[in-house]
This record gives sequence, C-alpha cells and structure tokens, in this order.
Amino acid sequence: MRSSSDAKINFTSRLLTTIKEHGIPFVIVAIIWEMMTSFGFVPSFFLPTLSSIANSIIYWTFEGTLLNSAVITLFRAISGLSLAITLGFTIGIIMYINKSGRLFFEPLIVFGMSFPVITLIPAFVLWFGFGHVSRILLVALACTFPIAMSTYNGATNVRKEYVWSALVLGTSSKLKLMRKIVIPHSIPFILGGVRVSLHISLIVAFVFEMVAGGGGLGFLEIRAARFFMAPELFASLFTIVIIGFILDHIVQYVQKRLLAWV
Amino acid sequence: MLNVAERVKLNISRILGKLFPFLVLFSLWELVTRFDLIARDILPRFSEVFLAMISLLKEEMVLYNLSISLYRSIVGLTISTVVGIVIGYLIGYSTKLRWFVNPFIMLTYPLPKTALVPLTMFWLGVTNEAAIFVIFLGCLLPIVVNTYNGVTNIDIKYIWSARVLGTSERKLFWRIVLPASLPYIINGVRIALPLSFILSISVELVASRAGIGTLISTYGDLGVYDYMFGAIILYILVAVTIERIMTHLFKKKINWTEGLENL
Repeated sequence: MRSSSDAKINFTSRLLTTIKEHGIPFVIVAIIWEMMTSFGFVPSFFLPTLSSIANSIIYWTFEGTLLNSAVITLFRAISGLSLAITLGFTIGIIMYINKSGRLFFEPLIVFGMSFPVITLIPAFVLWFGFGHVSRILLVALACTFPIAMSTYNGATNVRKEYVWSALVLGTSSKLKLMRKIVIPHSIPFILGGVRVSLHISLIVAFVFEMVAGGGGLGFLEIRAARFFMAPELFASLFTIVIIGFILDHIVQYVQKRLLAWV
Repeated sequence: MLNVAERVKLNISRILGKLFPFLVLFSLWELVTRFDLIARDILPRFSEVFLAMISLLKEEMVLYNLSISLYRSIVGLTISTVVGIVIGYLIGYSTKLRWFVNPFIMLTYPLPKTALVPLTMFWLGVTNEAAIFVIFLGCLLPIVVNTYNGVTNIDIKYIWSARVLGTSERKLFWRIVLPASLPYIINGVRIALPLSFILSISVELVASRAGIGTLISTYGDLGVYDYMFGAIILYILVAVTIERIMTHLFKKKINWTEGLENL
C-alpha cells in the first residue's frame, strides 16, 4: 500500500522532472520575447512586453475578473457538455439496441458531426435570448453528435465473447446485459468522445461570447481586442491556453485512472 | 454480380433511407410552425426557408459571399498544410528541434482555436488577411502533429530494407518516408478541414466585411429570419458536402496504412 504522502512526493518529483524536461524552451522564448519588446524592436501595441502581460494577469486575478469570467465560460461549457453527454449517451444506446433507431439517427449524426454548428449562433440568440440558456443549448447541440457516435461505436465494439459468456451464464434480461457488459466496456470509447467534445464545447462557448457578449473569457478577449489593450488581450489568451491545457489533462487523467483495467 | 439497373436501384434506396430522418425533421418543423405551436417570427416555416434558400441561390451577392468564405477556408488550409508538413518533417527528423518545439505544441494543442480570432483581428484588423491568418494558425497544429506521427510511426524495417537494397538517403525520403506518412498527413488535413469552416464563420460573425457569416448575422440583425435560415442551411449544405467528399476520398483511396481510422 502506498500512503498518500508517498503519492504526493511522487507527484511533485514528476512535476519537477516535467518542468526540467520541457521548461527550458519556454524560458528561452520568454527571454527573447521580453528583450525584443522592451528594447522596442517590436512595437508594443503589436506585441506587448511579457511583464506587462503578467502585470495585467496579476491585476485581474486579484480583482476577481479572471476568476469570474473563467467561471462563467466554464459553467456554460461544462453544463452544455453534461447535457450532451446525457443526450448523446442515450441516443448511442438507442442506436445500439434498436435497428430502426439506428437507421434514423445514423444519417443525422454523420451530418451533425460535420456541420459548422456556430452558424446557428444568430438563430439561438433569437430563440433563447442572450442569457446562459442559448449558450448551453448550442454547446449541447454541438457536443451531442460526437458522444452519440462514440457511444454507439463503443457498444458495437464490445467483444462478442463477453456478451455470449454473459448470456451462457444466465444473464437473461437485456437491461442487465447492458449494465453489466455493454456499458462498462464501451466507456473507453465514450471518454474519447468526451475529450473531443470538451474541445468543441470550449470552441462554441468562446465564439458565442465573442459574437453575443454576456461576459466570460471570450468576451474579455474580444473587448481587449476592440479597445486595443494589448496586454489584456494576451493575458486573456494565455488564460484560455492554460484552461484548455488543464481541462484536456483532467480528461486524460480520468481516462487513465478509470481505465487502468482495460 | 448485380447488373447496373439493380445497383442503381439499391443506391437510390440507400440514399432515400439516409434522407428519411431529415424528411421527418423538416416535416415536423413545417407542421409545428403551420399550426402555430411556435411563433412564426421566431421560427419561419420550413417551406418559406426553402423558398428563401432557392431565391438566395439566384442572387449573385450570395454566391459572392459564399465564395469568399470558401476562398478563405481553402487558402488558409492550403498554407497551413504546406507549412505544417514542413514543420512536421523537421521535428520528425531533428531531435533538437523537437525538444524545442514540442513543449509549445503540447501546451497549445488543446487550445480552443477560436480564441485566436481576437488576436488576429488585433494584429491585422478586419481584413481578408486576418481571416486567412486565423484559419492558418488554427489548422496548423493538427497537420503538424499528424505529419510528425506519420514520420515517427514508419516501420523501421522498411527503411532498413531500402538501405540494404541500395536506396540513397535522398531517395529514401521520396520512396519510403513520404508514401508511408502521406495517409497521416491527409488525416491531419481531414481533421483541419471542418476547423477551417468553423474558423472562417466565427471570424465573419465577429467582425468582417464580407462572407457568408457576415451575411447570416446581417439577415439576423435585420430580422429577415427566413433568409437567415436559408443562408445557414445553404452554408451547412456546402460545408457538409465538401467534408463528406474529403472523408470518402480518404477512406477509399488514400488509406493504405492500417489502423488509422481510430486516430
């Protein structure tokens, strides 16, 4: 048994080696950036100095703007995503169980996977107003298709031997077969779909905020661009980069942790 | 072997089967609006939208805006394909370059690409170049990463065999590395293609002088909703058609490497 402090040390040492391995290029670029901009080789409205960007990040952090905007954007993206997971999972399972369900939903999903959902932003503003609802629903619409597809793919890729064994051993009800065999074994695929959808949810949430306003990181960024506030623009962009990175790694971590048995 | 008539019949029934769900949705739309379950100012009838779409197709202005949007997507995607392949090969070959570039790719790969729109607007203003630049930036990383994967996933036995059989190092690239990594590169382009459509639309919705996104938001602002939905459906049809053709070509013609579907 490993104790929790052991795990903590392990984590910090891993973090340190990661920084040692990958940190140096960042430092080099940061030094070049800072030198280029503070000596005026690059106009500061084009590329602000790193220190001014850090300054505005720190200012925003203490003022609370950054946290508030991030919470707003993430609330929209994550609740849309949860809605899409529920809906997409249901559709995927229906497609697996029922043949006519599959025939009905498959063309819709193939179509939905490849259509640019954000063209619907003006329509969603018209239908659901400028509040949270329109954003959450558009995110949900965009993310449902990949999750339905990955659930269906996962369910059809479950090894037939498992299903047969369960049937031989007397799993008579279809519900139990789904719960014990099909769903657990399709989780790797579903999580893959969730990872793709997480990305889509953020894309949609940001564009919606840029087009229709209403707070959030996307709004913070587009406002900075409109008012030519270079440090603020880069501050919000860096925050978005870090949030995207962290969320992606959380999903990867869950994938690894949940699926250690695969 | 089926004869021609049978095959045509089979294809037609397959296509009809695929269109069926859409017919159901559209007739539902028509019925709901016909019986005033949803107010007509919020959702115009499907028949109106369809007629609007037909009349949009006749207008030169619409085709001009549509072609501008597609032009931006395709030019941006082409530039990022060329640059992405070069960068991908470079970091595939040189370990020092990989050490330097990899952390940045790892950090920025999960970035929701639409966050780049304000940055390019800020740098290049509300111009055509800004739109192309953001599409280029957004599509670059998937192509770089896929090219790199293609280079590093080449079975080393192919290279050994080629060397043993006397292939020179320069020919090695054309004979082994390029053909073996091409499916990966095309896969990267396939991933980047919908991204380029999304980016061009978002640039045009945020700030642009022309393009189908601008047209959609103008119709929305003016309250001409049947035309707005007509334009939306028109663009979706074009984008989906291009995407399906690309995917079909990819699956049928270029995929000579095994196990790439799940990437």
